[in-house]
Amino acid sequence: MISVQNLGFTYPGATAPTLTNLGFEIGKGEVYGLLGPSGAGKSTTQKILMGLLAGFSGTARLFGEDVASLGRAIYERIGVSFELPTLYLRLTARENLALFAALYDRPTKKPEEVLAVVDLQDAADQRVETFSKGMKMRLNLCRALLHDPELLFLDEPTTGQDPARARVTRELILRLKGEGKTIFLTTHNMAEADEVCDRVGFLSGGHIPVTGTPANLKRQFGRRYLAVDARDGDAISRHEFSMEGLGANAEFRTLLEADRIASMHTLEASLDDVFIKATGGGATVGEAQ
Amino acid sequence: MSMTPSTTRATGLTPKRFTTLLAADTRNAGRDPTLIFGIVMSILPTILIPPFRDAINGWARGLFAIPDLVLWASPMLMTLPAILIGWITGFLFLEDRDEATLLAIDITPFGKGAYLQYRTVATILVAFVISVVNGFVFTPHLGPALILFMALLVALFAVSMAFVFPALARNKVEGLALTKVVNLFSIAPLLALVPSLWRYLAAPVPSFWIGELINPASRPGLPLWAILVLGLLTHMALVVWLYRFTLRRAG
Repeated sequence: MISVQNLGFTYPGATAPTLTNLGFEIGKGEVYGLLGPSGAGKSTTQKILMGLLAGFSGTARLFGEDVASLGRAIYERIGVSFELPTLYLRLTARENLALFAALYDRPTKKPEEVLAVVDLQDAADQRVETFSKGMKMRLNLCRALLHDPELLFLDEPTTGQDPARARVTRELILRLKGEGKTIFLTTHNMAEADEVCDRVGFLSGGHIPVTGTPANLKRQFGRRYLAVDARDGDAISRHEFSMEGLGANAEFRTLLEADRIASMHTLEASLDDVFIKATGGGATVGEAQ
Repeated sequence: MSMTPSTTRATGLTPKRFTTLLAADTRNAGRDPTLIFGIVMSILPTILIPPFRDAINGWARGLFAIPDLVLWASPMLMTLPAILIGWITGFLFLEDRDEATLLAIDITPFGKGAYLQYRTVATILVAFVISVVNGFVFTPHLGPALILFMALLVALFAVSMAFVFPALARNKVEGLALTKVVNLFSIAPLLALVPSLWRYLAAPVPSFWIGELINPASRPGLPLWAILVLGLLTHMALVVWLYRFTLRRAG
């Protein structure tokens, strides 16, 4: 669906390139998260893939075609939800969607249908200037879904949303994946990436030094240890055991047999840890499968 | 499903899209008090002056010995609505850029190029209709053919005014400052009243030729055909230059 090889880009007047030798592949029906600190080049990558930036080196292909040779008709097949609301503030939600629906040649969904998907149907006739940022972001998402695209670019889709709404949005992303949509997600929210992405890539220094599935990356960057909180009279004491030969570890077995274990969990890394290591320069180059 | 990009073709500015966008722009402008003021002011002279034309002329004759003030002021009365219509369109452009709706349009098959074309056509259409009415109201001595030609010049002038804002201003605040400079263009047609060839120093300003066309040819000057050609050329040149500039800055 998306193929990027040796992609390089330098903004006019800039002394250093934003992207150098960037490469990744995204298959059909996959949710891919491009993660990285602000200014790492996530938006630049998106803009190149969306055909909004020219002057790059290397190869960027969408649907098997070079991005540079794609005509405007490609926008019938991709939907974009930007990081910031890009809406007509004095128009209502319904009027906004009707306006954008008129710009597509393929049949579009009814405004009320997509508004219901993000629970905005009751605000359909409300002017967007009265919306909260979270509502505007949901309307942004509605617009991206209006023409039922095969590929979605979602930039920080849960920005400004409370935890409950953010969960609804994440469930929507998973539902869209279930429908076979390919999703290119950029986010700073590692928990979100962990929950919805099949694979993630950490963008740092203009390329992706670390990529893989969230589960494997967490294992790769974590410690194969088990943390055990054990009751010690009225107090709780913390013990750590290597996962290697855990079943034969006498101390662990004693705690287990004495029924002193209050809680235990593996010490795998969080995606936040992976993010810090990957973008802080401490990561090894490679892919965790 | 296998669909290559070339199998789907975007059809650009269709009549249905044009009406949808025009309706949205009308709603959008109609919900902003400042833009409503601009809309009202652009048609107010057409509504208010005809019933009081004789009274205004009589008052001016008594005070300043001007025989027909409305005719003398007609170059300004023709260009003022164009400036206001252009100002409204220009501000909608600036909002599109500030709120990034232009970017949202650019990732649709329609694209920002077609959107600029729509705004051009819409501005020409609205300004042309108002100018034709104004032409028959304020300058009936020109006759239908010249009134239609003048309306075309005024419509092109309105488009150039619309592009001045997104081409030269970075945001709405700069746009407001630019409004003061743009208003000077409404004075240019009055320079055509000067009964001397020195008035042609204002020839590079397109709106000057609207005044030159309106004024009676009872003074030294270019023949009518030259006024028509130069008027059209200066307007077209400004529109094309500002359109390109706007398109570049829209990116």
